Amino acid sequence: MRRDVLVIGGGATGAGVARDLSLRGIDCILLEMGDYCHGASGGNHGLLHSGGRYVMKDRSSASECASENKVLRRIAPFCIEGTDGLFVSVPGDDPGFGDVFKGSCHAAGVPTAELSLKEALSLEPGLDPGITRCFEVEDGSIDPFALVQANVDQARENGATVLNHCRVTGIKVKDGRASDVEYVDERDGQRHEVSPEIIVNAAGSWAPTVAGLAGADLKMALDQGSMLVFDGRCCGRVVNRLRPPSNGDIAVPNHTSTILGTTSRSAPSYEGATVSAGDIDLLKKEAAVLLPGLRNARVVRAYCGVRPLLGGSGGREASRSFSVIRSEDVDNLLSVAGGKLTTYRLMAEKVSDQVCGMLGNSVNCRTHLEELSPGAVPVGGSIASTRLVRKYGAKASSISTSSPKVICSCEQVLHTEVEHVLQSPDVLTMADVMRRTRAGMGYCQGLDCSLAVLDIMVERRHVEAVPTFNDFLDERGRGQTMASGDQRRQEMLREHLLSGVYGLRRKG
Amino acid sequence: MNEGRCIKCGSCMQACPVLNDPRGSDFPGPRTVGIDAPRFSERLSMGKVSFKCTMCHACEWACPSSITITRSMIRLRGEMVTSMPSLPGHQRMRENIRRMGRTVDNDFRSWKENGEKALYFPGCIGLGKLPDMVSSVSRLLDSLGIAHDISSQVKCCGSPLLKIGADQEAEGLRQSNMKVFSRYDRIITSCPGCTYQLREVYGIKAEHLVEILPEGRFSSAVEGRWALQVPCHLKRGVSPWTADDMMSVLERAGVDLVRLPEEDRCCGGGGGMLSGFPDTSDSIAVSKADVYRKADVRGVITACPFCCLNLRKAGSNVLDISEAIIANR
Ligand SMILES: Cc1cc2nc3c(=O)[nH]c(=O)nc-3n(C[C@H](O)[C@H](O)[C@H](O)COP(=O)(O)OP(=O)(O)OC[C@H]3O[C@@H](n4cnc5c(N)ncnc54)[C@H](O)[C@@H]3O)c2cc1C
Ligand code: SF4
Ligand code: SF4
Repeated sequence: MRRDVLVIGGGATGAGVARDLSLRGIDCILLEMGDYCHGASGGNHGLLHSGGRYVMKDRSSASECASENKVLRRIAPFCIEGTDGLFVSVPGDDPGFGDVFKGSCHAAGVPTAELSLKEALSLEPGLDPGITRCFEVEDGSIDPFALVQANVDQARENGATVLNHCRVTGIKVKDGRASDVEYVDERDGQRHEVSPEIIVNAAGSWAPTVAGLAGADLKMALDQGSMLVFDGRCCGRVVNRLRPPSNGDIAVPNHTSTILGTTSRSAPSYEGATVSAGDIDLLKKEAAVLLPGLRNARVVRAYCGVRPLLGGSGGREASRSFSVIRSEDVDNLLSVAGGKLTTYRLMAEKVSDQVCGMLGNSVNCRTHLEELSPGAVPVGGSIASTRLVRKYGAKASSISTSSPKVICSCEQVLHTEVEHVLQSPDVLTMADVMRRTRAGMGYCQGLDCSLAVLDIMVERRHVEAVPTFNDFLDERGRGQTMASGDQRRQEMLREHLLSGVYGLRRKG
Repeated sequence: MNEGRCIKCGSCMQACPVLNDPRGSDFPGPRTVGIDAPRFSERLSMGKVSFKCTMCHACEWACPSSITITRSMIRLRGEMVTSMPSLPGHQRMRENIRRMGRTVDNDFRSWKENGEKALYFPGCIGLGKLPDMVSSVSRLLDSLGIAHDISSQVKCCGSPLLKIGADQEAEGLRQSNMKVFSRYDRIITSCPGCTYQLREVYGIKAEHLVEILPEGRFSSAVEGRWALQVPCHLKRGVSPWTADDMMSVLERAGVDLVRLPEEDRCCGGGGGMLSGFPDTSDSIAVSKADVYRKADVRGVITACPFCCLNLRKAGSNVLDISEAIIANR
């Protein structure tokens, strides 16, 4: 199969490139080895950056975030909560830092305003009453799954082929150009081939591996960050610590939880990154400094993601900006790496500009103009139906709300939502269902809904029940090994029911 | 604030009389309303079905995590009333209170205002709908040697207002009632809902009639076999011992009691259900009345004006405990 462009990687960047190219009328195919958001796009903090975080050390990233923040609020309002954010200091923090921060925000074009402490505490009553300074910024929270899916949908509407669960396994190179690319589709287990004019390597942390398939060299440092999910919204706004970026100094309210992060240390590989007990201790220690309520909140799970960082020594010193690299060894291979979820559209625009240049296409980028999922309007009547738009955008209107049957109570997921997502050929596993509906993401971690979801999958898809279920438990089990307090009680009950009573869980 | 302890065992849902009634299946249930919903920024979009709860505390009793589910449901109700129109029945009740200080009109005329040390506080339903029951409680108190007033000055205890989230109006009633109460050493009630409200919200030691009875000696005023309807707010609100007291007083008086497993299941009348969702309230009462009919008893003895009213409507022969016993001198 001949195509103009092959995009490898279905995270935010890859999906963004496919959307951008297809809107410019370019014939492209995207291949993703897992589900969309299998990499960093699914393992991040969910913060729609105002840019405030980077004004001190990385002004260009800060400016990019500030302008993309506005663009995303405009084009993807359905999956964004415009909560706004606060930068707050406490006794012991450098008292002069606030002024430097203010000046740097101004220089980077990041809108900010200092609040009186009284104002700050009335806006955000959960803050420690002892705070010393507070600035307001335009942070928000974003649902990466919904965002990426909307990019995929729009790319498809404009003619792109987008396939998840298809791993690129080989790239043939002839005369310094990549010719045929081999991939394996998990649906049939078969090898397939595609012959693109240009390859865009948007494989995030795996970008060096993908480049390596073509014999090209790409250097990248991997940096891992861990996050804690607290049940419930412990703050209404994003709360940042007003100090140079450090561990555990951002709390992001998103959906039904508050996510505290992150940490930063180098990782051997994506697969090799895990949350350590040390990460958890570190985060928990920082948790209550700004928001004392977090001390008593329930930690539902911990997870981590891996940042591919270009150049420098890695870690917090490395630039959060991005680059598009045209391989010296393979002429038609473009790799894109670095950046943020917040700036994914801009990255995609730059890559696509370069692709267009190589193809001699002169159509301009339209991704900042076209709304993603236009016409998304909340239904109302119940929590579950009001939330449909946040998860599915305009597609929410094709989900029936006539039966109020809720399949997952933690996340208020309708039975009909599960039926709806199972109509998509993208959905193969229970975890695929979870990423789209959020069934299983709440504090009971699937105790309440997983068997019901399995039941529907068996009925609709004729999947084999036990292996399907065990795959799901394996995936969810990862963040659960260190549960404590009430989450431990929850895990004991879940374990008892699933393995003790139903004998379902695979041992060992 | 202990909702974070939930482990999704589902016991609360099994215990809930509304969820398990065919007319109540649209109620999201105690776990959703009390535990899960408050975590959402969309929580206020839940709509009026989330008020479809009798406040019977059965969920709370069933919860292995000791979560005060009813309290968190009430908190959410309070938040919701500011953003949605009241149910017509609730609106009517509120207007009644505003107009005459009580939830229902009353034709009670047997006030006793002699400056006694004890005050009998019958509550709105007693005064408005069950004057005979109020008289029989008063007579029983007299024969126990407890001289008491029944004051025309007292207003609704405010419990129903709290259940529908009208906290400020409830506070006004509390202040007004406390002025009357300050003239008395002892407050005696016959409505479990009032008792709970006076104790938990007013912070005063109100005594329900059932708590006083063990002191006396009684004989039966009834013939044949009788079943019990144990009031929710008495057993699960005031104290579990009240149910045992009720039973032992009746047994010692010589009443032939038939014990049924369903005796402490809610009648469907509490929590503003009678005014807010009369159909569901009715349906729950009818299935309870069925239980009693099948048990082939002469009637049902209870200690709550709501139970009396609701089960009578459903066709049961119901007596308040004060009507089932006679004090021996
Ligand atoms: C801990 C952490 C917190 C973060 N927090 C934020 C934040 O709050 N806000 C923000 O804006 N940004 C944040 N980021 C950054 C953001 O997550 C990333 O910049 C962004 O998700 C990168 O997207 P991507 O598409 O480039 O990479 P990825 O999402 O990693 O996508 C790469 C994809 O390529 C696929 N792939 C790899 N190899 C192959 C192959 N051989 N065949 C087919 N497919 C393949 C992978 O499966 C993967 O899905 C955070 C990052 C981390 C690590
Ligand atoms: S108080 Fe009673 S009616 Fe209300 S939710 Fe609990 S069990 Fe159900
Ligand atoms: S009974 Fe308690 S622990 Fe069990 S589901 Fe209900 S609220 Fe949660």
